[in-house]
Amino acid sequence: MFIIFFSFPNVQSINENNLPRVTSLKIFDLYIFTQCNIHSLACVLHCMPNLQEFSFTFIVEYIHTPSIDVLLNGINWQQLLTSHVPHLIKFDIHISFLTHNRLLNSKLILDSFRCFLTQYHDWHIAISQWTNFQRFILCKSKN
Amino acid sequence: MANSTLLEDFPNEILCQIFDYLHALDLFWAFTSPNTRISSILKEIRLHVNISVMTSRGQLEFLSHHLIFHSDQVISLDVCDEVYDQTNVIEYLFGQHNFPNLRSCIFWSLDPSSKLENVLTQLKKQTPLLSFRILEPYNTQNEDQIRSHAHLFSKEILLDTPSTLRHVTFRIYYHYPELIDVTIINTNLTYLELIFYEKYSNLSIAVLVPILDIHSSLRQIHVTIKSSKMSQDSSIK
Repeated sequence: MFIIFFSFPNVQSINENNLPRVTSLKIFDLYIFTQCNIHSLACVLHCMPNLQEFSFTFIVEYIHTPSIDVLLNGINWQQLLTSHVPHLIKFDIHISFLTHNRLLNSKLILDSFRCFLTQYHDWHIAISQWTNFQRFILCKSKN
Repeated sequence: MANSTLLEDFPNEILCQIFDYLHALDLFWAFTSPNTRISSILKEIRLHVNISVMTSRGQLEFLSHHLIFHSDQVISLDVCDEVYDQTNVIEYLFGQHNFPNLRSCIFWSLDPSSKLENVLTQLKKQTPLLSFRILEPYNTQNEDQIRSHAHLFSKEILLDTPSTLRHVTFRIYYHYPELIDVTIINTNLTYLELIFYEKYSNLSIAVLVPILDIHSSLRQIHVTIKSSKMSQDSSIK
């Protein structure tokens, strides 16, 4: 099965049946400042079956809603990690982005990561939402 | 009468340890002297060459003069290509000297006009290089030259990896298109750090797959994926 990823001007294709395997790879630090496709991430993680430490940092300005919902859902991460990197002992995740007046349902996000909290006693999660500081000052001064 | 200990009173072993903390320029500047004992120690210790952005041309020439007698002792190089009053420092150093025992090499702030093909050939053929780092800050002015440097490093080091090399860090803004169509080569790299950068497009994480194909002995990989697409969203109230 071929998957084509457009990356103008390059066109890259991954043959999912012929992914390389790097069995010695134990530590993977990934910093993404553009889009992130969780399916491509799955293919890449599949290449490192003995991974022990994975650090994922994702920082963008504005992002399409469906993509970010996928990444903010802990259940997707649980499935991704257990199916491709079952020997993982350390998982760091950091996601930052801007939204337009769209409030996130923090409780929903926290709940989706509950599987991590229950399974690993040393795991913590924090969500911070910041409103535009300038707007905050404006509101305050109206009183 | 005060009984103070002079530096020269220390035994050889202590002096060797002290000298190991100093880089070559400081060592030669401070300790070149008629004292034959110190001179003979200087002929045997391992040397670290460190050329920072504040090094002057005079200091560079002084160092180079001393390296004529000591270049086989150099095990590490940490060189800024554009210093205070001279450019193309890396080319200059490698043009004057061989470093047959070099293990670690760091190049930073590459001069856009530097010709580095011969330097890389020397590194590959004449040194048992273990670790190679390129640290290049993001610069919109000389993008074409930086890209041609990155292409050279990619071709000579990532695709034709020397067998002694284990650690590669290329902090240079490039997208490595030449890696895509390569058939499997097994290299001995155990650590790799790269930045994948393409100006007006979104690179996918899939760019990693050819890397994993080529460098199948990796133990640790550090990848940054960036682009500088212009912001499309503008409906901010």
